[in-house]
Amino acid sequence: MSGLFGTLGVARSALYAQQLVLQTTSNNVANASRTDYSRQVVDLTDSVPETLSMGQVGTGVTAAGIRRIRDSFLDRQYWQAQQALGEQTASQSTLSQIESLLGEPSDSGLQAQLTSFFSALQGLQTNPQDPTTRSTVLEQASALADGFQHLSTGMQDLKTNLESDINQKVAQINSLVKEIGTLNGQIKTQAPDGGPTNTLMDQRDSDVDALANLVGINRTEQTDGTTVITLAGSGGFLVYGTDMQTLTAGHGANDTYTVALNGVAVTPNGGELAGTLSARNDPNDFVKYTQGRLDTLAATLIEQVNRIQASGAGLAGLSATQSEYAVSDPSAALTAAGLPFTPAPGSFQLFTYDASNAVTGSATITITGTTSLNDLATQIGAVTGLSASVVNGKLSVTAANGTTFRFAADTSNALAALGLNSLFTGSTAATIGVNSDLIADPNQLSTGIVDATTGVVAPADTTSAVALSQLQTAKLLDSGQASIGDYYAETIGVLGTRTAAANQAVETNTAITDAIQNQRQQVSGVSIDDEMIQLTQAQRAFEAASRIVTVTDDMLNTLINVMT
Amino acid sequence: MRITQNMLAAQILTDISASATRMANDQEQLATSKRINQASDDPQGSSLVLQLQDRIGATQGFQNATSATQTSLDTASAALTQVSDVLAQARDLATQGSSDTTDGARGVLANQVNQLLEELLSQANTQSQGRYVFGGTQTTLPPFSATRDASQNITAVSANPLGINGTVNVQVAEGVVIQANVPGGQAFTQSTDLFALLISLRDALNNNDTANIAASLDTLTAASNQVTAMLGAVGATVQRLQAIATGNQSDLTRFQALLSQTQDADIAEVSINLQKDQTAYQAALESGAKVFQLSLLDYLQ
Repeated sequence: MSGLFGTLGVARSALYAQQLVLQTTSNNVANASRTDYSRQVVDLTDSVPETLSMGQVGTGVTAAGIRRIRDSFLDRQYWQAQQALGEQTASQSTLSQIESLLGEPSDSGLQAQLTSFFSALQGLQTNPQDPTTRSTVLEQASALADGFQHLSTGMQDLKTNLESDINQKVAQINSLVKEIGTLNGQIKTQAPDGGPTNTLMDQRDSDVDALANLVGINRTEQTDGTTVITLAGSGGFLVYGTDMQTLTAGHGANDTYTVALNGVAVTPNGGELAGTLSARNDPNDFVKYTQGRLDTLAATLIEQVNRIQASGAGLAGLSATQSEYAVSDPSAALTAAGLPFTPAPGSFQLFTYDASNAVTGSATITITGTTSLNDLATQIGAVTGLSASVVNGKLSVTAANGTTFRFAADTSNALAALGLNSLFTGSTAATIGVNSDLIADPNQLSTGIVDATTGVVAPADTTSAVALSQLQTAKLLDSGQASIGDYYAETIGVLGTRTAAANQAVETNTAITDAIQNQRQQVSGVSIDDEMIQLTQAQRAFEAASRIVTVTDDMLNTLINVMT
Repeated sequence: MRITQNMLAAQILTDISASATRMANDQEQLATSKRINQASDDPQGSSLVLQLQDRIGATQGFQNATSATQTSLDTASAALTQVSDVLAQARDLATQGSSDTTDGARGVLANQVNQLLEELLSQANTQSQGRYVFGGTQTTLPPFSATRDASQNITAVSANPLGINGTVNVQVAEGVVIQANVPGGQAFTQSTDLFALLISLRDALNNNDTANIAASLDTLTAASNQVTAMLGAVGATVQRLQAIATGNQSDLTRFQALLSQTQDADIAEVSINLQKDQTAYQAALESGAKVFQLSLLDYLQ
């Protein structure tokens, strides 16, 4: 209405409006330190004007709504950046842990242990009969085996940790998804109104920010105010309005740990979850790559050393030996019996000796394409003074009292393949050990060789010792390109390059994410200075409006009292 | 462009963090004196460091093997020189004995030859560090043993059949395996049996058998040549070992220099960087603190 009462009404609307502005400003200030808060502004518009004969007259101000300042384009960019950052962070974390476990270059890592072992072998060739030199070789071999096992255990622990990390992330994702679903429901109920939805939307956006870091997602807005969140790459939805699906994690085939959405296997694309899954499962990188390289290194060392040890001669002959590796079927051909190292058709010599080390018998044991472990036991058992049996897929050879035996000239690699008269036990980095028979009697360490025709052993012969020491520089790996040291150095180099790249990627992605966050803050962040000015404005406007009330009140007073 | 307090805070934090990280890196390099503390600091450098450690270990092993072999061959060489001497003296005695002298005089010569025979046996059984130098591949038992008659004179010398001709090989450099011993059979009994020679000379002198004395003289000449040739071969091997030892040493020096170059931190450079980064860190802290304290609230009453 017009007139003085109308003016009061106008002033009143101003007071209400400025109070609302004050409340909003104070809300902004209260939440100023939160980075996930979007500042709110009150949209003030003209009240519906009065139409008079002279034209329209303003009736004051109304609050059209309280608006949340948020740029959804920047939000989208931020989520994408977060996904990349999350994935790289997970990669970097795993690679760092692997790097720290291997601890190279150093004076006490695996390389140092390999060097010490080979040094001991070199010492053996100038002093083959010295008991201390022999013991040293076995001690260094034990230390090296321990080194391999320690790294393998570390890798296994890392795998387990990655699995529990995946579980944790899946739980976090599920809990965030639940929150978002609940918020969707609440927003949908209150969508027609303004006001409180701002807070709910902020909360929901903050949850989506956290979710984007964990797993790659795509988000679309529905017309009823709810959002749909789907997994990037696979299309399955996590949240659809108030419907939610959960992720589960568990062991998959081929030593993997996989994630499923509502029972269907998925491969997340981006986010920390994708990074951690990759770290756990990728056969050519991270844990599996490192474990694979260590296993190859250990297996090569074991086979090559055992090959020389088995058909070499120590200072004492054997009174018994048992094969290290079991066959899957004692009646199957050795060449296809599931042994970790493969024999080939060939033969080896077997000599027996009496108590004064005189040769008492000899035999040529032949391995053909069809010879089985049982056949081998029969052949060996036929030699006077020896008995051979197969127990649990392993061959056991025992000499009669007063008799010893030795192997020589193995062209079939069967001795190393079965692990007879071996130095190293096991066939992988996790299982490598030292034959306890040798530790008990270092005289059985092969330094010399048995004469293949006469069976005679000369105690100061260094043929096996020289062969062992040549293993350090022999190109045994990478199809004859790399020695043992080269292969390990290559592994460290590759891991180092990947770790450095991951470090760089994290740095770059962090910078990108920070820049986008900066822009978001620019748009939605609360500036104290801004709010203070707003506050001052509101205060002055309020004062002015109150003044108008006072003046109008005076006028009314004049009208009422003067006109009596 | 709007700037909010949170943006300022975030910026200051990032910058201080970056400064602190640089400082921590410098500090680590100074504390360990190494430029490479993890493989990711320099992946190719790390790979090279590991390979060098491997090579240095191998080369040090070669050095040990070379020097042990040199010692053993030097001992063999000294013994063979003595043997050469013995044979020269035997030649003199044989020469004297083949000219016309009385029986008694030949008896004296025979005694001297007997002494030379004992000396020869002693040299053949030379030990070095508890091992018989001429034992071949059997070095814990004497390679040559004598059968003696009632008056303790040697009637025959036999060689230990196991290993007397055996060769002992040693790897002294990458791909270089050399024979590190002088087998007793080769030196003392192969082609010319030096013991049999001296025994027959002594017996011939005792029996005034001028024909055999003359025959011995001829054989002694051949024997001397054999030992001289052997000495020559050993000498050549010793020289070769010397060259290999020099090569090993220069390899070792080269590897160690390269290792140091790759992995060591330049202390002077790192110290200066640390100083610089410390100053930058301080500046970041100070300026951050100052900027952060200003606000409109200070000026509104």
